Amino acid sequence: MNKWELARRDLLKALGLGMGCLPLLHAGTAWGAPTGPRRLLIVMNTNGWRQQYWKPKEGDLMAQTLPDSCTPLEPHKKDLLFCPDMSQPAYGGGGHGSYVSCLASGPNDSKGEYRVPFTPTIDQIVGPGLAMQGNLNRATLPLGIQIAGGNAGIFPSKRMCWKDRNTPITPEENIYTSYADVFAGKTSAPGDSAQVKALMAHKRSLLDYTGASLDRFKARLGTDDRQIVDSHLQSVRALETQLATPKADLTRCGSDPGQPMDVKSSGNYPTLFKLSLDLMVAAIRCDVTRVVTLAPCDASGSNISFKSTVPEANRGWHPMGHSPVSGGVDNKRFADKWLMGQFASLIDRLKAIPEGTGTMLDSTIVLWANHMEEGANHNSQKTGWMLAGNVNRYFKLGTCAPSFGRPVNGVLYHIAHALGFPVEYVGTKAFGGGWDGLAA
Amino acid sequence: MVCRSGPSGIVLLAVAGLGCTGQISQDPTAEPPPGVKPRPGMGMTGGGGGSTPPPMGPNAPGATPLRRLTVREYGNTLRDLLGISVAGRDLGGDQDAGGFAIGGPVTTSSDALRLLDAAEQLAAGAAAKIAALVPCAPVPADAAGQADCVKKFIAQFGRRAFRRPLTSEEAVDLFAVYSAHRGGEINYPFQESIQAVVAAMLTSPYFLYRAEGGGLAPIKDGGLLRFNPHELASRLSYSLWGSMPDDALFAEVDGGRLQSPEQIEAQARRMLKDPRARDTIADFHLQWLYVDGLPKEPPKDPRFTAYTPQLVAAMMAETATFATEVFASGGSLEKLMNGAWPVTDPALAKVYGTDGALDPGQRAGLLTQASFLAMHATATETNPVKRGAVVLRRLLCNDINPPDDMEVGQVKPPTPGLTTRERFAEHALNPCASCHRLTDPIGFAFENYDAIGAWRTTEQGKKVDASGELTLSNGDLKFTNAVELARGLSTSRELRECMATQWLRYFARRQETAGDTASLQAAGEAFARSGHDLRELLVALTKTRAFTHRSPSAGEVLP
Repeated sequence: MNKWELARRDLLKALGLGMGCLPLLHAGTAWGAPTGPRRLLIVMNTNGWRQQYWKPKEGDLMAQTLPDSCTPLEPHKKDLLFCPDMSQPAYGGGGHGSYVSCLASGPNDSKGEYRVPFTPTIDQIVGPGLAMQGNLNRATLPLGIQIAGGNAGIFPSKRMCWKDRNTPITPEENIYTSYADVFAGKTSAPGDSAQVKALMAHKRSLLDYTGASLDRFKARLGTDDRQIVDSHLQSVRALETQLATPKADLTRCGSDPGQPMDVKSSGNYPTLFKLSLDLMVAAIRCDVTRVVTLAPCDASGSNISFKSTVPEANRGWHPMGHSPVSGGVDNKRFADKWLMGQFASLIDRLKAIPEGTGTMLDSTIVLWANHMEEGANHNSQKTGWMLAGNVNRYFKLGTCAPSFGRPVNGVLYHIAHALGFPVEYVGTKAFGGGWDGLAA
Repeated sequence: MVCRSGPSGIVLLAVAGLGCTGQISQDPTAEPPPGVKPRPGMGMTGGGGGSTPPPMGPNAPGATPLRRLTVREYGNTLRDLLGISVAGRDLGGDQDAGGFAIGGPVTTSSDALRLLDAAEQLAAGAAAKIAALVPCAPVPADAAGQADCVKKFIAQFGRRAFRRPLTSEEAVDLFAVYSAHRGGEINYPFQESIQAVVAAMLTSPYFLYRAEGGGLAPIKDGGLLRFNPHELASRLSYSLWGSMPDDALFAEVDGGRLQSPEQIEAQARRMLKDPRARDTIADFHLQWLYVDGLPKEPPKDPRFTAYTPQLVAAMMAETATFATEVFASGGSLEKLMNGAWPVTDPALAKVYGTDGALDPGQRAGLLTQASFLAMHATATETNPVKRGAVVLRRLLCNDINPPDDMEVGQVKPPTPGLTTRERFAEHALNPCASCHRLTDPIGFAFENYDAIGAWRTTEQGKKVDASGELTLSNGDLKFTNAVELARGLSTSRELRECMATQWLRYFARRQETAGDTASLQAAGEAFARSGHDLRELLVALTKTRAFTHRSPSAGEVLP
């Protein structure tokens, strides 16, 4: 049986971080001291943006008025970096499949539209190390909204974060479960009661047993199968450390999500989006984790309807992507604008929280991504991303970068560097390095 | 020009296809592109990401990837192990392998917590049933007597939970769980401590995974590995029942009577008669046609107020019942594709526009059922691409892929005066044609059915044109509607071969490889000899090497 204590090596394992990454942890802390710990928030959208209403002119954002869809972002443009028209050479194609490997952008299984990436996504590259820096037991917090079902059951279209080819990260689609997982409930028993101690010892016993069984189980397995079991084992170890640590107090970092509502109802989508953004900020504010990902859709958004969210859009995300204009109204433009409003509200939240001499935005990178140019053409080779936040004053904010045809890998590379991980490349080596125009 | 030719020689709609690719058999053993290391991706670590070695010949089945029990299998196993239901419990999602579900990997602490919570709560909920399984009554008063009792319980219950006898090390570890709970700071009573042992077993990988090859050594057979009898029993039970072996199957294993093809066949036949097989047959068809993903939410369109969660449940039940009835009454593939069925749900009858029997000119077989038609449409409009693609992929095993350089042109939105067929006609003119000349003509055959499967003869004031042509290996198939298309497909070599492939994928939960060719051929021949009785196909598959053997995985430690 394993002992109920976690050495540094155990914690690394629990975080899914190899010993080979240890030097990077030190590298991460060697860079000057930002106002708060470095963090990364990722929101991956689908069906692209209506480009003529979204894409700013290349250059200084302060010297222009943002296009109509981006109106909600106008107050924040000095904190923004636009990267339109980027390529995804590792994916190479069009269609919805780029969702699956977009955040990895490395070699993939080349099978079908939805190609399983062989390399970790950016959240998995930086998450374990950032958690280790803070001695946290949660590498990332993966959230999702209304992903399951739809889209003819094609599985990879439901996953945007991957540890490796065999272990996609399953986002938690029940926001209330995520709140309960991360934060202490209102009625928690005192941690030192005999009953609680017995309960914790009971859980430790079961997890010890599970861990030992997994260790034995994997001994004879092949490489691919061992990856699956290793991931299971790491998850159990992470759970062990989480159970050994008091949960964070939500009242210190956010607000109660309220009475649970149906997380599958399309009418609740705006509320679920809001609660997800709230939790993203609360989780990093309480330093529960330093990387939070939100999948507000699967690869096509086929489950999501904007009917009760955006009156002018009034259609499903996917059909609206294909045919943005209906009855003479460009519905998709309004949906995009609503999404830009969500992005702006996330920035608002981060700016509203003082940290050091600045705000939480000064130590956080927000990647508001989309894996397609726009739904109407399904092109994945003119991808538009936005970054907000100024970790280490790394990025050249207030700019629409000259990014035409540049690989998205470059943005991922710079995100890793900004967060203190001096990787040589992200994804495929041939185009995985950085490019000019992003770093200050 | 032929877009894609599969092993059966299928030639679909000889058209000038540029760029569209289809794959009849996707080889999961395929290596990553030359010069690409599978894992690094960030220029600082290496290793991992191994792939299975290349197949050794047409009768050397692929490796058997490790997989966790699906939600259905987990629930069925708990039902058969402890007599309890897991309905309504959040067990995490499944994922896809070879077009069918496998349990999703455990990648986060939330996943681990979900499994832990389920194990604890299910064991607690089954307290009375567990107590009845404890092999000592009354429970001895002394610690030594209790310990002996627990050891017996671990051996007996563990054998069923792990689907094989426990090793001594495993038994010792489980007894340690009991000991930890019986004393110390936990200090649970005897029965609660036994429940903790059960909960521990339910979190074990030997329970959670289809661990064929994990606990007991597989048997070397040349360059392959033959599943040992316990593994074979699990393969049979999970393939045919989606659950653990029953006592009769365990007895065959214990008696050394689950080794020869004849012995496997006898068990397969017995198991197919069990009610649990009906559930599997239903599950296969719902997954095969992707009907299990049917959206439940009403489309909020005044034309489709009939579409409610209750109607969706009725649609799915209809498909499940029809498929199981076909199996129960002869297992005819032709009947599956062309057969009639009674409509028992009043709301569904309304969609079909009948108060009794269906018009055989409008409805015949699975492809004309509302579940299939609604699933492969948008919420409010038909979609010939979806309907065509699912027929190509799932009934003809032609896994078409969009070309790499695809830029999708816009399909005209619903417009007064334009039929769906006219709107989609643009596909045949632009670069999308390479794929859409394959999908759309098949999809047009279903234009007599609206977005939720109701019959229609006109659209936008015009007569629906559902005619088309399909070139199959046994000649051109001309059809004027979906009923005729389905009838033509039902006797086609392509569909017959694809059924064998799909059931193999379902059993193995992986894509077929070149090493499965002989197995598929053998099963196909038995299928043909039976007059294409699907039950005989299933029995035949259990006797193939693809069922009884596997290739070693790369990096596997062999006995």
